[in-house]
Amino acid sequence: MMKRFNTLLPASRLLLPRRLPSCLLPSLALAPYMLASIIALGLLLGSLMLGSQGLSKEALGHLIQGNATPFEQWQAFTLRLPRAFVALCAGFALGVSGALFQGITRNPLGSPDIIGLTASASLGALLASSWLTGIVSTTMGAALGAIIGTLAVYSGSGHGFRHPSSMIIAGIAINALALAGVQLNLTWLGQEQARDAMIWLSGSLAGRQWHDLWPMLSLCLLLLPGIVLIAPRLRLMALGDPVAKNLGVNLAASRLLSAVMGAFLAGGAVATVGPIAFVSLAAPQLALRLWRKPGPLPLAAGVVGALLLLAADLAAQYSLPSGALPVGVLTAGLGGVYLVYLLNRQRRG
Amino acid sequence: MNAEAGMVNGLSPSLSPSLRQRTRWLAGLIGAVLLFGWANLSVGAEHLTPYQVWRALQTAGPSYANDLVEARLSRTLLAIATGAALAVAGTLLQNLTRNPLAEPGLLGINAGAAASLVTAGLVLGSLPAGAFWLALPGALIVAVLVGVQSAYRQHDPSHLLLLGAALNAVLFAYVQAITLTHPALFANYRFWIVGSINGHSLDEAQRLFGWIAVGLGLSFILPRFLHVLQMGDGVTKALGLNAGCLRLAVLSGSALLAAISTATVGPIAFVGLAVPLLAKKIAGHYIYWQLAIALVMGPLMMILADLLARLLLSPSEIMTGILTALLGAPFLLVALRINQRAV
Repeated sequence: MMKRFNTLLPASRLLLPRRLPSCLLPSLALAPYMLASIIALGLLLGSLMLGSQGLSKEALGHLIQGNATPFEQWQAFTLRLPRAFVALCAGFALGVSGALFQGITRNPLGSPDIIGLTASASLGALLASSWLTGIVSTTMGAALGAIIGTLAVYSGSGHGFRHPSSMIIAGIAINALALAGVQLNLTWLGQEQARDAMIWLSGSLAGRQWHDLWPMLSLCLLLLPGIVLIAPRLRLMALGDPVAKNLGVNLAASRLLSAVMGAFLAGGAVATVGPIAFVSLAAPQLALRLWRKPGPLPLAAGVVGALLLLAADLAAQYSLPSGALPVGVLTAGLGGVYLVYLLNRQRRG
Repeated sequence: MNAEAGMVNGLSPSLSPSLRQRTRWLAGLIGAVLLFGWANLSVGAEHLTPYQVWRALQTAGPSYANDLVEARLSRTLLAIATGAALAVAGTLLQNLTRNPLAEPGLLGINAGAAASLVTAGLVLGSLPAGAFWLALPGALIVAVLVGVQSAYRQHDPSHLLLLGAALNAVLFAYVQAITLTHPALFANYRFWIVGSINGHSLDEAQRLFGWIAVGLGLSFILPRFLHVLQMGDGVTKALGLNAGCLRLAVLSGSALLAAISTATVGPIAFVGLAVPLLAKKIAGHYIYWQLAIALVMGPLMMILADLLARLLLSPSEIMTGILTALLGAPFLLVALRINQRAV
C-alpha cells in the first residue's frame, strides 16, 4: 500500500508538464483521496458479491443495466448496500473524532475509546433508549453521554487535557465507571435481550438499514464545515501552544470546538453501530503515515476510518471459519495488537 | 524483625505509623470484618435476628432459616476469600511495579484468566464448575508479560495501564468471539463475566477458601523478595540473588491469587487497587504489615460491597463486580489526584 502510493505520485508527475500552472498544484493533494475512492468502490463491490449468498456477476450486470429481479434488488438495496454505507459513514465519524481528540491531547493515545468516551456514549445511548424513551433520542443520548464523559475526564485528570499520562488514567477510570453502568443496566434487561445487547456492546453492523444511515450522514455533513475549519488550527496547535497563540489561533475556542465536534461524532457513531473499538485510535495514525504530512489530518483520518471499518466488517462477515462475528470483536483484537505496537514505539522514541 | 523499620529509614513518623497504631488498625479491621460478616448472615431480602442466625449455625437439618443462612454463609466465605486474594495480589503487584495503579484487573491478568477458561471450555465442550486451575495458564502468561514490561518506563504509570487496556481488549475480544459462536459457553460466561459471589454451594465456597488460604500463606514469603528488589537490581546482584527469578516468584504469586479468585467469582474490579493503596497509608512502607492490613481490609471491602449489593435495590440484587466498579472508579480518580500532589 505504502510502496504503491509512493510510486503513484512520481508517475502522476510524469504525466504533467514540467512547469505546472499554479492553479493545478492542489489537485496533486487529492491523489490519496482518489486512491481511497477507488478502494472504497472495490470494497462496496466486495460487500455486494462476497459470501455464498453474494450477487453473481450476471446479477451485478442486471443491477447496473436496471433490469434486476426483485430478489436481486432486495439483496442489493435492502440487505447489503445499507450496511456497507453505514460502515463507511460510522467509520468516517470515528476516524474524524479520533483525529480531533488526538489533536487536542497531542497524543495518539488520547483517542475516544481509550479515554472512555465510547463507553460513556454507549451508557448515554442505553439510558436514553431504556429510561428516557421519547424524551431524548438514542443519538442525542449517546452524544450527551460522550460530552459528559469528556467533561468528566477533563475535570478528573486534574490537569485538563494538558497532561497525557494523568488524562489517560482518568479516562480508564471513567471507562470502567461507564462500563459498570452499562452492565448494571444490562442486568435489568430480560434474559433474551442480553445476547443482543452484548453483540451491540461489542459493536456490530448486523441488520443496519437506510434509516440508520440518515441521522449519521446528516451529522457528518453538518459538521463538515467545522472539521475543515478546525483542521489547520489543530495543525498549528501541534507546534505547541505559544507558537499557535502567536500565529493567531484562539486556543480555548479551538479546543472546545474540537472536543464538542469529536464528542458528537463519536456519540453518533456509537448510537448507530455500538462502541466499535480502536478505529478512532488507528485511523488517524494510519492517515498520518499514508498522507505523509505533519499534524492531525481530520478529513484524511475520516477517509481511512471509513475504509477500515468497511474492510473490517467484510472480514468479520466472510473470512472467518467460525461464521459471522460482530465487527467490533475483530477491531478490538487487531486494534489491541496495534496499541501494543504503538506503546513499544513510544517507549523507544 | 524490626517493626519500626520505617522510622529507621529516616522516614517521617507521619509516613510510617507506630507499631501501636498499626496494631490498633489491624484489631479494628478484624473486629469490623467479624461484625459485618455477621451482619451479612442476618441482613438481606429476609432479615433474621442474630439469635436465629446463631441457632441456624448450631443446628443441622433442612429448615428455611438454615437454608438461608447456608446460602449467605457461602457468600460471606467467598467474599472473605476473594477479597483477601485480590487485595494481597494487588499489594504484591503495586510493590513490584512501583506503580500505585497496578491492579490485576487493569493489568489484564483477569482477562488472561477469562481467555484461559474459555479456551478450556472450547476444548472440553463445557466449563466444569470450580475448576479454577484452568484459569491459571492465561493469568500467568499475562502476569509475566506485564512484569517484563514493567521493568521499563517505571516513571510513567500510564504506560502499564495502557498495556493492560490493550491486553484487556485483545483477550476479551477473543473471549467474545468464542462465546458468541458457542451458545452453550455463552450461557456460562454471561453470569461469570459480571462477577458475582452468588450461586455457589457451601462446599465450593469452603474448597475455594482452603485453596486461597494456602495461596495467602505462601504469599507471605514474598515480601522478603520485594524488600530486596526495592533496593535496586545492583544490590540484588551483590547479595548473590537473581532479580529475574525473584520478580517471577512475586508475579506468579499474585497471578495465582488473582486467577483463583477470578475463575470462581468472575472479574471483581478495583478491590485490588483501592485496598493496597489504603493499606500502604495505614501500614507505611513495611510490606509485611501492608500484606497483613490488606489481608483483613480486602474481605471487609468485599463484605461491604456484598451487603450494599443486596440492600440497595432489595429484594433484587446488584452483581458484586458491578458495584465494586461503581464504587472503585471514583476512588481511582481520587488516588490520581493524591498521587499528583505527592509527585
